[in-house]
Amino acid sequence: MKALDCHRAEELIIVGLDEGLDEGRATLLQEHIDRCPSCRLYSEEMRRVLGLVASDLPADPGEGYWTRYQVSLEAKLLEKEVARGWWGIPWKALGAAATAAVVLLAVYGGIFHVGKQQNVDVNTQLIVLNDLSQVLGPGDDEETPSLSLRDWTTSAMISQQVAGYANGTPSWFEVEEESDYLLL
Amino acid sequence: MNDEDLVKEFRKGNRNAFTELVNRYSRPLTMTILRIVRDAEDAKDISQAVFLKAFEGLSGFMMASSFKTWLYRIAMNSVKDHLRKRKWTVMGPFPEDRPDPAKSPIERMEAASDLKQLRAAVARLPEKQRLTLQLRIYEEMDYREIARVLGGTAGAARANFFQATKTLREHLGRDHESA
Repeated sequence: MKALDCHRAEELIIVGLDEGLDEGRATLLQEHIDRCPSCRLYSEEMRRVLGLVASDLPADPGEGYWTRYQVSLEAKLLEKEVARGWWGIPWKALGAAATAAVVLLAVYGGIFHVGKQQNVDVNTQLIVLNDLSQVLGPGDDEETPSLSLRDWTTSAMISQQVAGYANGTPSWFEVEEESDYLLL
Repeated sequence: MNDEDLVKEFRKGNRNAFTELVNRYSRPLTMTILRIVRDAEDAKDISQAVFLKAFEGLSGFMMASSFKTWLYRIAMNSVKDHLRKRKWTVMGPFPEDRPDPAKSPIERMEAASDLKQLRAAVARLPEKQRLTLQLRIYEEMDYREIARVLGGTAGAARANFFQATKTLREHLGRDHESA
């Protein structure tokens, strides 16, 4: 059999330490190492390096570690199952859709309504319906007027009563009509 | 029941089948990860994340490889991500490391020094060489299995192992010379 060169010997040294060599190649390598100090040193160093790597093993972390591992993994798996949804129902998607619906309702039903209320004249809101009937006088079907001349003597007074809360200026109905009624 | 049967059972809706797979592989997988990342809490987090990914992906697993190979492939990808995020440079010491009382103080110092140099040298290896070396030595995987887990061919895995050992020898020799 042909003698080994150093390059081939180095390869066989690693193969021998890693997987083992058949008898023929092992003999060939040994013959080379016996007469080659450089490859002998290489073989010793490589044996030491691989031995060191193999010995550098972490210890088992212990039973407490494995118990904690199992418990927390099981909890995470359960969480995953719940997120996935029972009976294949995509709860996450449904939840997102429900949230979107609530937001839309809030925007179109709530906020706009609030906005409208804010635009109403506060002064106008103060006038309630029976106050209006008193001011406008009796209707055709009413026998007794709700106001008498004794109570309201001048149109200026009426204007003051109706719009007194609004700096003396009526804002949304004609005061002249009431004045006419009182003058009759 | 073998792994393949358990996978089929899980696909039918038997949740206990997955628990059995976890029972089979959680320890060896976590120990494999621990040997590489060198931190028990990180190893736990990575290993659990691997099982969660497996739980989600098992229905789409084509069974082109064994469940174990598939699981270890997910694990090695997660380990690579972890090491890249951590910008791993030097392997940390094991908290379990204890000096061997049978050795003399000088021998202990030499051993500690060797280990420190070894870890620094392993950390300097290219990612694929390092993982190949660790799977080969610690997990005793053959090169075909390593190729399935890390990607590539068995020949490439063997070449990576050879190169890793040569590089380690060179680094350790240089460290010894400079020490």
